[in-house]
Amino acid sequence: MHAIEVQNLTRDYDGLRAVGGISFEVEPGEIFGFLGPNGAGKTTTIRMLTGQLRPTSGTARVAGCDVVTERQALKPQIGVVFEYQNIYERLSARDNLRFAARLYGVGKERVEEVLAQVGLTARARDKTKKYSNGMKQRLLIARALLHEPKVLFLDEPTRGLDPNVARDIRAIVADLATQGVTVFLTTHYMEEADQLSDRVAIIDQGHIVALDTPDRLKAEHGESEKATLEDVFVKLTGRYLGRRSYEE
Amino acid sequence: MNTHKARFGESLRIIWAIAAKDIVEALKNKKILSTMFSVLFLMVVYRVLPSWENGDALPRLAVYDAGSSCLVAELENSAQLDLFEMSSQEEMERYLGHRDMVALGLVIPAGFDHILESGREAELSGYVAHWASDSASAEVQKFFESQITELAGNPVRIDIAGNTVYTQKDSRGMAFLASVTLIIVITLIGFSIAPNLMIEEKQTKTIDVLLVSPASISQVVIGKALIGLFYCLTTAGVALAFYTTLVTHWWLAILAVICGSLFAVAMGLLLGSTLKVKQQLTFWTWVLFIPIVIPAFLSIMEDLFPAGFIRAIGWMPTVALAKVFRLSFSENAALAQFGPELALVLGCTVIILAVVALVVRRSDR
Repeated sequence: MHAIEVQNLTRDYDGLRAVGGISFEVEPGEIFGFLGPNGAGKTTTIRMLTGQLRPTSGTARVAGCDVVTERQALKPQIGVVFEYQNIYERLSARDNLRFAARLYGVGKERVEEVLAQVGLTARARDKTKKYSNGMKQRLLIARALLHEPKVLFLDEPTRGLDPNVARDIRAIVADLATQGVTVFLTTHYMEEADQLSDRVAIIDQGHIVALDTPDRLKAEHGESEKATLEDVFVKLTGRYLGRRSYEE
Repeated sequence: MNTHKARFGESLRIIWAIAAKDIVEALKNKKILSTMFSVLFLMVVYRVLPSWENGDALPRLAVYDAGSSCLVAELENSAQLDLFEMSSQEEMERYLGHRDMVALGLVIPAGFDHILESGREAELSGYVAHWASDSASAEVQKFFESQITELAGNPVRIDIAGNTVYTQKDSRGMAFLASVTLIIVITLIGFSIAPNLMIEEKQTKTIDVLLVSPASISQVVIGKALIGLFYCLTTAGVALAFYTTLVTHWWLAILAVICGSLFAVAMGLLLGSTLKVKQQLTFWTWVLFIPIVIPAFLSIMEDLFPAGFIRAIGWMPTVALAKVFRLSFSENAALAQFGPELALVLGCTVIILAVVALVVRRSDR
């Protein structure tokens, strides 16, 4: 069984097609990079796969659950780190996690485990309002891991973080995959996607324009042997930017 | 069967988790805290307002003279008291029921002057409102006993034992003040807490965390409603504590507080589920609060407004609720008197909750 199975998934907003019939599969334990320029449909896809948004058409199954008809069964199977730092800032990290633990029916001891896992035990009693961006991001990851999900969605988890924290977070993600957690990762950092992802899908204007391992993508679309994933990404998605600057 | 039981248990656990988090969060929310302090301040002001207003006023005496006693003329000329002559005992009792400060009602029987002329100690029946404390009643009794004894030149005793005058559902004075205080407290808290918590979840996007967790949008709304209800009932309880001597039917007062809180929280949920930012909430709270609460004030002003207008505002849940509160302060509270009013409040609550359910369902994905 695939960890994620998507067939012709489409989402329209007021007549505009944000995601246009995408299909792909993600295997258990795989880190799947989902790349695309701003507005390409990455977040809309994540919102559909996590049951927050109803697809206009098509089907998707995550951890064996249909995202439309089995949404309640899906929820305990997934963890989500959003692109924004949505934590309860008046509460401490521990209280944030204890609240999430109560929602998922998870014991308090697990709270301490994930705090240790992301290196926040020493500051667990502090109000999260006082946290740096990096600490908040660690807390978001801890919250997403609390109930030991099978599939973890990470929407730009290292955006705006200093290189040290970003490296720590990448290490946590890589470690999760070794434990069998499937990771669905969106990022604007091509090096990060290249380093972490087993396979990468590039989405542009709601359509997947390439899907393969980073090495194969570089070999197929790169213009030299030294081509990077960023070169491939720009080649496949940068034409509109080029046209706009030409028109301007 | 077991699956249903398990689901119900899980649902309760989630609702409780949300409510338990918000019970603390609410007290750390400046907007909610300021509303609570405003409400508390309002309660204190309304409670001490009569004392401020009547600080320098002379003690009031309402007299029904059944036999044209000379004592009335003496009382009229006294500079120590304020005399109000009544044409019947019923009018005198009604007068006492409309007061917001303790006053004494007195019945001077026919032939009272003959008793005075005989030199014997005379006894008069005195009346006080039921909400007057024992010490306040004893104080006015003693004051008027000494004044009348001095004016009559004969010892006069005033007997107030068992002569209690109860307020009515249309009473002004203390009963009216207490009823509108309760309406304002319940409405302000109900309109404020649940929607503030809901809108904060939307603004900080923590609602997304809840919606990818096992919590459903309905459970989130129920959790917020419970918090609104908790704070509504608590503050209404404090407000009732300010008027303990006034309440005669505690069960009815508590029932009215519960129904009123449900109505106010339902309105709050409607605001919280339709609005997106706090600025909108502040605007809409006042837009709704004024037309909902003001009729409770206007409803007793039959002499100022046409009967049709008074009848029309009688359909407002807050007006109905204020009547039920005043009934809970009165001597008799029959089901026929408060049943239709409570049914109106609950009916409006059910309609609003149905609209909330519709809005919530439509907003879900």
